[in-house]
Parts: sequence; C-alpha cells; structure tokens
Amino acid sequence: MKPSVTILHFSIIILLVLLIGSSYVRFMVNYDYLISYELECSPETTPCFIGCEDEECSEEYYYTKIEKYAADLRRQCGVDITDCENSYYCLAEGDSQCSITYCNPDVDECSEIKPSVNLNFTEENNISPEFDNTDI
Amino acid sequence: MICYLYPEPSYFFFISDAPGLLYYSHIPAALLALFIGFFIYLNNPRILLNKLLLVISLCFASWTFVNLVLWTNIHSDFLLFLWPFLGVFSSLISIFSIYFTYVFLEKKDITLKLKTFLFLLVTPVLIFAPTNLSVTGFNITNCDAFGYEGTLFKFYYIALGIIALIWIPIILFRKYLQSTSQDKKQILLMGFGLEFFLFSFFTMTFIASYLAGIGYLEDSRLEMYGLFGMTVFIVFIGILMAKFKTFSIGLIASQGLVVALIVLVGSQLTYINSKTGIVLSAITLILTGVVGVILIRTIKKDAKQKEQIEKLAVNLKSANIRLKQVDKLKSEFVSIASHQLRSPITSISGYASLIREGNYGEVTTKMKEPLERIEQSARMMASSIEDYLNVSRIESGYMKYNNSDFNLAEEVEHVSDDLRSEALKSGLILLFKKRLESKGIVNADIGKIQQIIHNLINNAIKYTPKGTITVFVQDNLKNKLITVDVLDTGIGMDEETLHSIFQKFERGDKANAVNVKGTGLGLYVALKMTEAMHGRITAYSEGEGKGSRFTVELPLQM
Repeated sequence: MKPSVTILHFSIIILLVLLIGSSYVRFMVNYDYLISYELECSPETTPCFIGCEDEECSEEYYYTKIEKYAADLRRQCGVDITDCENSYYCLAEGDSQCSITYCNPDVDECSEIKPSVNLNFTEENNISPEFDNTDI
Repeated sequence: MICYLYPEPSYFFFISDAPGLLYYSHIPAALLALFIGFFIYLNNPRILLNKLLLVISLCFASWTFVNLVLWTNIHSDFLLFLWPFLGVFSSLISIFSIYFTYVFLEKKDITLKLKTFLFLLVTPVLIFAPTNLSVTGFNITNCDAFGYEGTLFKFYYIALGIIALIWIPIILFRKYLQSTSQDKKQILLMGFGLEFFLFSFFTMTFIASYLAGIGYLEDSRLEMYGLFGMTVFIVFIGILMAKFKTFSIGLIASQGLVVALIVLVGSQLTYINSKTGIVLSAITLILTGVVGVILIRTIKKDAKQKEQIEKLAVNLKSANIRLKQVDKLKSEFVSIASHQLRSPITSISGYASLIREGNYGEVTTKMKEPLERIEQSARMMASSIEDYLNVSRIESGYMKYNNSDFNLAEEVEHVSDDLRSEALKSGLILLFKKRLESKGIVNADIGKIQQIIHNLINNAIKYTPKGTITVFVQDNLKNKLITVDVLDTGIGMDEETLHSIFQKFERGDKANAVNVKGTGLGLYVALKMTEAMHGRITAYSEGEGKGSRFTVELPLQM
C-alpha cells in the first residue's frame, strides 16, 4: 500500500478515536451540556404551557420549562430529578447556567391566569432567583 | 441524568412499550447488514469491493444500534455521547457508498486524489461532532436532543447524503452507457439496490429528524421505514452474487447464505412480542423463503448445467484420446500393409521388366504389350504404396528429414530433364527457366525436394492434354526466398477445388475424367513435406480450362 494511502487510513482512524474519546469526556465525564425539563405549573398563579396526557388530549396538564447545566444539576440532584427540590429553582451559588421559561400568551397557547398577574417572560438567571423571590 | 418519565430499558434497549415497528425495523436490518457484510468479506477478504461492503454494513449497523439506543435508553449523558454518531455514521455511509460504487464499476481502487477529496468531505463531521456545533443539550422530559442540534452540522451531513444520492446515479449512468449488456444488468441491479437503500435511508431519516426538530412531529418514528431499504439492497446483492458472482462467492456459499438469511429472519419471531411485529416478521419470512427458493433453484440449475458441461468435456476428451489411438493404429496398419505389399510389387515389376527385355528367353511381340502393362501397373501401384507410406509416416511423426545445403535450381533442372521424355510422349513441351541473383542454395532434404518437384511436374503432365509445362526457378533476395513455379496450360481448377486441393484424398472434379489413376495423396504429402522444411506450397488457377500454377517457396541460404 502506498504511504499516502496509509496516512489517509490512519488519519481517519485517529479522527474516529479522537471523536469517541472527546465525546466520552465531554458528555459522560464532564457532563458539559444543558439539560431541559418541564416543571409542574400552577395556572392559578402563572400563565402555564399546556400539555396533553394522551393523543386525544382528553386530559391536560400545565408546565413551565427549565434549563440547567448538566454538571450543576447532577451535583444538586444526582441522576434523577424526581423529588429533587433543587431542580425547581435556579440557585444563586449552584447554577452556572440556568433559565426558567414561562408561557408567553402572545406566542404560545397558555393557561388562563386566575389572579391578574401578567408575567410572561423567560428569566435568565445567574444571580439568585429563588422561586419565592421572583415576581410570580 | 435520566429521563424521569420513561422506564429503564433492559440490555440497553429492550423496553415493553416501544413503538410496534421499532425492533422489527432496526434489529433484522442491522443483523442482515452485518451478516451479509461479514459473509462476503470472509469469503474473499482480499477483494476491495468486499471490504467496502463490510464498512458500509458496519456503519449502517452502528447507525441502527445508536438509533435504537436513542429510542429506548433514558440516560442523557450516554444518549448525548451517542447522538453525534448519527451524523458521523450517516456521513460515512454516504462517502463509502460513493467509493463502493466507483470500485464496483471500475473493478479497481480509486485514485489518491479522489480518495483524499472524499476524506476531506467527511473530515468536518469527524472534527466537529464532539463540539457545540453538533449538539449542546438534552431534554429529559421528551428524552431527546432535537431542540439542541447544531443547524450547520446537521445540514452538512444531510448535504453529504444528498451529494451521494446525486453523485452515484450519475457515475452509474455514465458507465452504463459504455458497458456491454452483461455489465449493464449488473449496473442496473447494483444501482437500483444501492440507490433504493440510500434514498429510503436518507430521505426518511432526514425528514423524520427535521420534522421532529421543528416540533411538527412528536418523535422521529418515520425514520423506521427508511431502514427497510437495506433489506432490499441485500436482496439485490444476493442476486448479484448468485447470477454474476460479483463478490467472487462460490455457489455453495450462496446457498448457505440463503439458508442463513431465512434462519435469521425466522429467529425474529422468538423475541418480537407485538402483534404487528409478529405479522410483519411472518410476511418477511415468507418473502425471504420465496426469494430464497427462487435463488437456490437458479443456483442449482446453474450448477447442473455446469456439471453437464464438465461431463461432456470429460467425454469429449476421452473420445479425442480414443480417436488419436485409432488414428495411430490405422497409420500403423497402413504402414505394415504397405511394407508387405511393396516387396511383392517390386518383384512383379522387376521380373516383368526382365522377361520383357528377354533375360528369360525370347519374347514374342504379342507378349511384349501385356508385359509392359504389368510393369506399368506394378510401378503405379508401387508409387501409390509409397504415397500411403509417406502419409502414414507424416501422421505418425516418423518422417525423417536429412537436411543439407544444395543448389535447388540444379536439382529442379535434373528432375525436369528426367521427365521431359515423358512429357514429349504425351505431346507436351516441358521448359525449364531460371532467374537467380543468388547461387540458389537451400537447406532441405534433397530427396524430398526431388520428390515434391517430381510430383508437381508429373501432375502437370497428367492434367495437361496439350500445350506447355514451364518450370521456373527465381529468387527474392529482399525476402530471402527462392521459389519454384510449375505452370501448365492444363485443365485448371475452380475456386472450390483450389481450397481443397491440398487435403488428403482430394482430387479435382475434372481430374478423374483426365486421369483415373491418382490416389489424391501426392499434393497432401508435398504440402506436409514442404512445411516440415520451413517452406510453403500454394496453388493458383484462373479457372477451369485456364491452366494451373503450383509454387514451392523455400528459405534461401545466403
């Protein structure tokens, strides 16, 4: 085999090995990515996104969206966010990247808000957005 | 992090509430691809085409495995680790399919330039797959990363798929136009199989992924249908293997493959639980069985024909050996019989001559004529026997040639002088002419040359009722040849006779009318002897009644 062809074959193998290695380190060691999930939302206090329990949408549920840095969330809650209180908030000293998105009635189909609170925004947070301290 | 709404799978990807078509579309297609890839590769690992098919099969099986895990697994870190590989494997499938098509069409490796170009096309995908350009996050509620895929990265590997889809048919079509009908069939089969696979795979996966990405579809289950293209491709590969031996796979191996495919497809029934899956598996099993039976029948038919041809070839060989033995026996018989005949004939001729000349007492005039006829007939018979003996010696390879250098023109002149009186008796003029720039020396068997020239002049006398016979010797220094022409004004020959005149027992149509005593062996013997002395003998006539010319050509010794 010609040396140039061998170089080509080795290059593709090296690139594949580097790809596997760096992907592994990024996602499985450093958890260097964002995690998004839905949180329960009370339509009585905030405009909520509306989700369907089934295809016919016979039963609805209400939610907001939260996005956190995976490494932070993993440190706060472990691998499962169920029953993890920290997953509901953007913590001032625990979340390097965190945002909570509420439903925007101008764009999305939202639940009606019983109290006349007009809060429809995405809250970017790098400071200390404790849920109770927000304007919601 | 785990997708908290979904159950944990067993063995990486087995879940109870998976979409009905999920396992049916993924597992058999991947296993079939792996099976056929390894089967063809292991049958002949040196062939580049087989290696490339294995690489495509591995990429496809890997893509399918990754996709199946993405559908069923719930660990976000593991899923994100695998997510970029969808783009990587689909890019590799695109590039290696182009490479595979070139090798299939040209039957040789591609140039380094083209190889480098293909490598450069796929390099960005390999480099940027683990970066934010590929994927940045994961939604653990939906358990997917569609919302976090990098647009540029995604469009790049989709573009590679589109390039392959356009590039491959173009090179197939160009080669198709230049090919023979047999190659055209192969190109059509491979082209249709490969394009169907790529088209169904890329369009379905791209469309499903795109629609799921923009939120139009809840998930990308549409892509499952695209995987069936691989099964179609495998069927076409099977036909190419059986019909054209494209991957240099033996017939028995092809039969084994068909049986293994049926077993493989049938084995799905053991792990598929959903009703839809079972029905689809059963249909596939029936279809595979039917196609398999057709293939095996075709293969058996081919094998039977091959066996018959081989049997015929063996019979023909033994018949040929037998014929040679019989021919040799015949030659030996002719030789023995001729030797036994020659001695008494010589005695008859000799004693008849002695009686006629008065060595045994006075011979009356009345007795002289029958004695002369006895002598002539005996001489004729001796000549015929000599012809038979010569043929026998030539055919058995026992004819001996004692070559030496001699002056051909002188020998031809002697023979002409000897036969001049006989020509005169028949009322013919026999002329000898020569035009030589050299000494006219040849290296040959002098006795055989005398015999050949004697035969030709004698024939000319026999078949020329009136006129002249000219014997002409000339040389050609440029070609280092010397020729002896025997020209007569005799009965001549038509085109058909000219073609067969040098064959054994062949005589001209008109020859029997003029001379009934020939054996039809003289010219055959002359031809074989001349050829054995590296010469050539030819005949020419302008037609019946227009005379003949026989030419003996020999290499000139300078």
